[in-house]
Amino acid sequence: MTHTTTGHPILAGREGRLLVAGLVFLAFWSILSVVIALQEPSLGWRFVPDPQGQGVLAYDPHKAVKVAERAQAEQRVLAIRPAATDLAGQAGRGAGEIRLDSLIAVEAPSMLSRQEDLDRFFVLQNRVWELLDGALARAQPVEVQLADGQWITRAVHARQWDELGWLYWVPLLCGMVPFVVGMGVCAWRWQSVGARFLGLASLMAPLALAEVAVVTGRLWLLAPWFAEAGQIFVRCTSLVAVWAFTMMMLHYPTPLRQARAWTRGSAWLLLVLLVLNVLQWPDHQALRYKLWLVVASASLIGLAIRQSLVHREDPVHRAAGRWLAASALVAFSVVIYAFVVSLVYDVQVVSNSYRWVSVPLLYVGLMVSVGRANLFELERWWVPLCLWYLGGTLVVFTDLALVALLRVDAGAAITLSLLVIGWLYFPARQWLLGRLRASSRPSLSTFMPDLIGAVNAGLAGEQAARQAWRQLLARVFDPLTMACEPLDSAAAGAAAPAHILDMGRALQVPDVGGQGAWRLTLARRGRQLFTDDHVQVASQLWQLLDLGLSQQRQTQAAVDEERLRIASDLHDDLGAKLLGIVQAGQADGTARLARQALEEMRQSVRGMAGQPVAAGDVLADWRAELVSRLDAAGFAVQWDAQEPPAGLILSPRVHLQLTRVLRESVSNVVRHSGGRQCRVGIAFAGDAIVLDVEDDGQGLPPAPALAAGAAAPRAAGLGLPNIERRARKLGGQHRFLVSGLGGVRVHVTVPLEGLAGDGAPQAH
Amino acid sequence: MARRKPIDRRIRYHRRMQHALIVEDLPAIREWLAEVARAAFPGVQVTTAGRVDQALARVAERPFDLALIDLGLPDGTGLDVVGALRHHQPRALPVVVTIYDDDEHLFPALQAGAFGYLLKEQPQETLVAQLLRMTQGEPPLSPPIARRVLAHFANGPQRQKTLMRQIEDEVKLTERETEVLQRVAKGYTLPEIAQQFGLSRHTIADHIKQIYRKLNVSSRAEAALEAARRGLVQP
Repeated sequence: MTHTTTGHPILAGREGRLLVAGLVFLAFWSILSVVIALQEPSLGWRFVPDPQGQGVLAYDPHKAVKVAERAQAEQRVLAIRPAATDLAGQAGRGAGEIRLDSLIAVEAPSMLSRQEDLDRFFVLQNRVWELLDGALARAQPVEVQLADGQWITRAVHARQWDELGWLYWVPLLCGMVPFVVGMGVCAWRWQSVGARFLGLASLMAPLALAEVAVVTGRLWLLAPWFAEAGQIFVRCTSLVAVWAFTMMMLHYPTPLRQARAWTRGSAWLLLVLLVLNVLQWPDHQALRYKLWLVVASASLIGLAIRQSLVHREDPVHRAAGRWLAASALVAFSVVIYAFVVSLVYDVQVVSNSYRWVSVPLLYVGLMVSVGRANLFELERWWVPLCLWYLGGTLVVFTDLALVALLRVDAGAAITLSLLVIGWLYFPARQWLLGRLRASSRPSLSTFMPDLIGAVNAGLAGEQAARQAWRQLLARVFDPLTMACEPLDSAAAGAAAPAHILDMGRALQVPDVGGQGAWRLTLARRGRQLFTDDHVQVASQLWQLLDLGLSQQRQTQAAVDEERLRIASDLHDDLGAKLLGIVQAGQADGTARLARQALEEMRQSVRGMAGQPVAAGDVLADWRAELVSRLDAAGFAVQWDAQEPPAGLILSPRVHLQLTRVLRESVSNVVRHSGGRQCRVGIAFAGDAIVLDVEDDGQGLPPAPALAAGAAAPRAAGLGLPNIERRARKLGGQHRFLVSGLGGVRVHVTVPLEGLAGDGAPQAH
Repeated sequence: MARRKPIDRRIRYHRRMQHALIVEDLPAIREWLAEVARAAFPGVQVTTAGRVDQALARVAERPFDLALIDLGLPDGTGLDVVGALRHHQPRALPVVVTIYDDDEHLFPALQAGAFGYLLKEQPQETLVAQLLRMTQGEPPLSPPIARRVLAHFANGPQRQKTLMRQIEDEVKLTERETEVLQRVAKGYTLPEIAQQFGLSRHTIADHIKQIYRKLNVSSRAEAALEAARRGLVQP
């Protein structure tokens, strides 16, 4: 078996082996079942019991459906006997004659509740089988007695392939589907104990239903060896299946308390019951079989309720439960429909066979629920599914009500109910669907203004855009939690599009800048799972935002490029000319002016083409420059700089202006103070940066002169108006004070928002 | 630290500047630079060039002791001349003279092998003083440059270890060199750093010269590797 798996990538591993083994087993078992079914000797009729009359009714075996009325029967057969031969006399005939009790053709002997009925069934079956089998072996016909007492001769042949009929195939297929589904789920989610028990239960499905197919699909007889063994077999498999289901519920989604002990204990009990059933003791089968089915079913329901109570907070489990409930509802509806239809239409027999359809239907729910395949999809389909089911049920019940209560003709009833439901229900359903969808799905157009806001926030830098995007996501999806996770450097290159994680519990959306991704957990404050609708909206929002931001970046890049070009031109043209003046003006003093102009130009260009700088680096640069200058001028320098707040970035403009303030202040100290000491203080107080430059020199002229500002020539000479102008440009304040050292103290405070314009990276 | 052999003999024992090369496209400035050179090193013989190709031709003709090189030239960048000197005349002292005072121009010049960096608009006496100090072994080093050098060595040579066994040790910064750079990057002046380490100012200057040499070696090695990678030359 396993050799088929080698070298096949899809079938590699335990899952592959399990699946292949399962399929081989399924084929083997089906063939076995067909072989047994074909052994039955056939009279060319299918017999059905008639509880209200004598004997059994005979139908054409090719007739597909057993929903048949008594009037459609070809014959009523009362008795059977071997055909007259030369050797056998009248007496012999009488001895070989078997009166046919209606019991003999009962669809499922397991339905016979009394042991004496069951015994009578087996005896009768065996006698008739013997008779037919003997006739078949001798190639002789048999005679059957019809309702009018007349005997007719009927040939016996081995059952044909085409005599198997739907009654045989339906249960067989209904056993195969759950098996395939169960094996798939089991292999796929082997790590889940619940899935493994589901696998065991679904293994029982083809075992039991192959037997059921042989029994219910038979023309009327069961092979003597099979009749009783099959009963025992199907009881055992049923017990195992119901046990496995109960255990699945005990372990799924999460094991309940003391699950292990319960599993072990009930396994022993199961083993005992299996042995008892094989031994057929005690005599009363209710004690060794039916009672336990009831017990297990009750436990199953109890455990299901317990599990759903334990996990009612988790939307994934809730969705799993919904799937299960939905398919159980549909599956049981099939049974109920069949029952109600037979009741209303007064059909004599509706075959048990068709109720097996409910088994695969139930398995669809189990597959999705335990297999956890795209559970979140149900979040989307839940409402339409309910409405669809409601529509179907309405049609069926309207039709039945018309027939049963108003005695409307069947054909007219179905037409009428379709018309009524079509005109009344479906428009209402459309309307309801539209309303529900509108309320549960985020709509792109609603959030357009926010989106435009987020794109515009990009103008204030990436940090602001990120912030706006965060707010937008929070507003659209209203998640329980949201966190930004850094991407691996490998994954960062290609930002993954929005997608669903963790079975709909989380939605991952790219972040602005491609360095991270937002992980939103549980939509709408935990009430919903994320669905493809959310993904769609998130992708569209992201695409629009990305487009907007990238256009902004292009614009910014174009501006930067242009600035660089201007800067380069200024250097090359204006700079060269100024340099010429510097060289030519050595004699008449214009050189100094030109040199200053060159320096000013260079600083402006740097502010124009510069990049935002980390505050820590700026402080280091200031220190290196100012300390060297003061040192060279013979000053004792005291450098008091605080550590800047982590991650503080200075924009080029702020950097340039503050550098100039410090430079001019220090120039004043060097040129005019006449002192020997200088203290430079840089502090970060609250949301402001505070610069202090003080000396021990001769101090400022009297206060009135200073208050007049630029009018005072001394102050102008000190460059104080420049310091004032620069501080005001940055929205800050300046003060010229008397230093504790004895000289002047220049005190400039500039708000930190101005500094943090490009934003300190926010801790996520 | 193991005792190393004297660093960069070229500079320490190369005091007499006999031949200087001036590469500058503006005639007036060219003339003025020649004056600066003569003022700094009386009796020095000056050769001038206005273009990169001229300068390369001069370099091929004869050895120089000193070169003052402008960056923006009509047919290219002065860095090519710096590189050629570094390659063909390792004893020559290439000094970049420019109007740009930003790191964006300074760092590539250092990588190319420039030993000094002068700003054109400074008074002649300042330039002369700086030139003299430079030839005595004190190259300029600012915090931004220190940061860039640190970053260069942090992710540069390690990356190429397997390919560059032979020069690996040569281009790795020593512990002391890294410390010096880190302090410069924090804004400490060279005298302060010398004091902190209890070393002479000259020793610190030696470290910096060594750092520049390694920067150039590592940059050239990177360039060679890059060229090899692109299939321009055989590795």
